Amino acid sequence: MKINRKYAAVFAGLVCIFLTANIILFHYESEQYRKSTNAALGSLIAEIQDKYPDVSETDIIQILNGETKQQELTSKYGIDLANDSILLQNRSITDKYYIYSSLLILIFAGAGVVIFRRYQKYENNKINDIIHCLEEINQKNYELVMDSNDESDLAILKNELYKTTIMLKEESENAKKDKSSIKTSMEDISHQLKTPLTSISIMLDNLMDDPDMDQTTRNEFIADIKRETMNINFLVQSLLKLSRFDINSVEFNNQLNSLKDIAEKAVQNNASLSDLRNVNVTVDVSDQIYLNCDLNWQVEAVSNIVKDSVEHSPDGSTVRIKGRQTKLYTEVQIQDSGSGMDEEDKKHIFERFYKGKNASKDGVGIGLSLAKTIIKNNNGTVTVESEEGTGTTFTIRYMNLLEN
Amino acid sequence: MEIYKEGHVIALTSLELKILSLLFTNINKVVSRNTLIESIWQWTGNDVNENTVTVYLKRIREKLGEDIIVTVKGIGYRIDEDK
Repeated sequence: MKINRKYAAVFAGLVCIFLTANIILFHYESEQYRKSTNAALGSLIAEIQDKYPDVSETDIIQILNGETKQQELTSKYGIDLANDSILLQNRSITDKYYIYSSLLILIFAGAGVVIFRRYQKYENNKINDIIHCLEEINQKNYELVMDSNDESDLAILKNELYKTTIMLKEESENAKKDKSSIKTSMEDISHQLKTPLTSISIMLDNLMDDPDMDQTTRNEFIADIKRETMNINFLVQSLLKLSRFDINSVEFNNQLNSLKDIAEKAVQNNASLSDLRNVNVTVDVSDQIYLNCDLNWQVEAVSNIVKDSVEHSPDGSTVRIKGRQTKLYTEVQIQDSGSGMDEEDKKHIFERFYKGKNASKDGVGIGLSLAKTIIKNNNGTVTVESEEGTGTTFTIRYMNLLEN
Repeated sequence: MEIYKEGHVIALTSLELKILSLLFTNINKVVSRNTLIESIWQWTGNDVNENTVTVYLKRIREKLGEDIIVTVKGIGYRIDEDK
């Protein structure tokens, strides 16, 4: 309001200046007229006195001072003295036009004020619209009302504000999500480490406090401690790998590798396990398929998946590894005829520290999560199809990139 | 790693090979059943019982065709150098 008053004052001032200027100009104009008329009259009188000495000075003075005796005569010359009062009526005519002109200026100024007020009201409505829109966004109502699709600056401003706000909101939500996922993962990690560490320290206490412990129990304890230590070691190494992927510090040494080679190495890594479980692992991959990847990392990824399949396969069954290549992708399928898993497990199977309902008790739920991370970093996807009682099929697809 | 007998490869499975290799690296020394169980756990991540160890040793002996592995009753197994 303060600003409005200021503008009103400036506007009124301008109108006053304009009016004054107008009056001064009119005044000056009428002065000019008077002067030129008087000059013309003066020279007329001089001429008359010069050429017609008969005309008496008194007569002229009388004429000039408005004593119009020769009305009939002048009207003969086309001069209507009643309306064309040359000298004395000029002033009142000028005054009349002063007023007309001033009135006109005031009317224009008034119209200007009205139009300006209306425009201001329109702008205010638009701004209120934008404020309302932002309030809605702040109340988490992200629906953009697209009723004002005009190209006015305010409409553009509204759209831009909307975009910026949504972007900021999304970013802050992402940050919040990231933070909570880091928190969850820290909790998971510390839990996974704390459990074996606690049991190690209990067993060590036992060994130290009881020197008379019989040899069998003692050996059992030591073996258990070794196992737990190895578990921790495995966990820490896997976590380090994962966190290296998390911060993008893994560099793949990419080369063309035979897919069959990768599959066979993965089988070899699980040979002892499949031997013990009496599970046959077959590789049905053509020698002709090549994949641009880092051999060691992809072998690790496929190994982890094969390991999972073998561990969930029944005695005497077969795990089949198949490979094929299309124009779009290179695919590896790992198919087992194990117990399968339910929808819930399928959804979370690749999550870090997620253990399915049929998981082995020693597992920590990191193998598949690591596999997925490695595959994802090689432009691949891994999906799982499973039916309870029939078996599970993992499908890895590496997208063929144009530069390959 | 492969095991040859009279010029022919003996087809041992991965785990059989690892067990035999463990016995050879501890030549003349007894490898206890517990050690074997622990080793199998390390190799496969699976806990096995004594029966599994017995079964594996039996299979290895059958494949080798010759009994170079000595059973030390109640303790474990041993391969002697002179055999």
